[in-house]
Amino acid sequence: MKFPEWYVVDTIGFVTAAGVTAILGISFGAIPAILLLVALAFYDAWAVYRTKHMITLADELTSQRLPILLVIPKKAGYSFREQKSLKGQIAAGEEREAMFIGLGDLIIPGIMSVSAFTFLTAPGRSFLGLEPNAFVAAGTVLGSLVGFFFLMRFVLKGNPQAGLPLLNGGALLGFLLTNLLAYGYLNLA
Amino acid sequence: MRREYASIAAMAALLVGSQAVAIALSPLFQGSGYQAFPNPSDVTNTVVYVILILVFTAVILGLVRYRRQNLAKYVIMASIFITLAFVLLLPLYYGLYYSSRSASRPSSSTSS
Repeated sequence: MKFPEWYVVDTIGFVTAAGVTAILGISFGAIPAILLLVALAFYDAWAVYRTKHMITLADELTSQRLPILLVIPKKAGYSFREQKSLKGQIAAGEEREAMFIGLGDLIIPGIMSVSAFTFLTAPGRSFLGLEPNAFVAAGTVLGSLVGFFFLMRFVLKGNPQAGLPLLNGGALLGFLLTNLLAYGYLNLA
Repeated sequence: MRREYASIAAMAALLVGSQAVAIALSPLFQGSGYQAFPNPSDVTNTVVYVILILVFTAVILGLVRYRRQNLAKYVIMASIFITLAFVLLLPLYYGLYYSSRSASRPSSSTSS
């Protein structure tokens, strides 16, 4: 673990994220999960744009090469071992050679989709061959993906962005829409 | 710009993939009582969890500020290790269980 490359960090991060998402998803019913997504979206915005302590944290932890964020290189031959200080690069207006996404950005919207899959047990309409709970879970995943593409429009401008407001917002919208479609009312189990 | 599209697609795949894997794993975890909270529909779970996140963040930031980066690193590595142990143990256990069962008794098993 002394000098892990980006694909090592990403593999560990991905498995950790999937597992934590599953464990937390089965621990939050629909209403607690919705509240969690809303609260953490506000916290993320505050920590990235206002106090900026999330950037300090990300900078510190990437410099230790810890697998708490995923590293996606923009060009072949990128080495995470040679990644310089993020804050330094941001201050210098330098273009970064890789993109970074925190594990929380994968886990938190995922809690909503696992929660929908687990706890929406009431009978409802099936769509596209999916049971209603699986349909709402898929809608939640798709919603977070739509939020992600909006997020990328901001990320491409080069500044660090809070991920959760858009990712959670998208996930919640997807959840609401598919929930209404599948049940005809808002099923919060 | 082209390269960035590839990176964005990879990131999107990771976002969707991690959620899909989590959904696939969730019945397994639920069957083994892996819930973090005893009553999932209790709203106080949310409050407790948000407070835990804030405390953990504050501790790590504090360690970094007072130049205890190594301690912060070990705290995080230990957390990740414990999580991975939990996450990897169950599928491994089930995999071994089913493979040994199907290997020893192909079709006559009626146990539940």
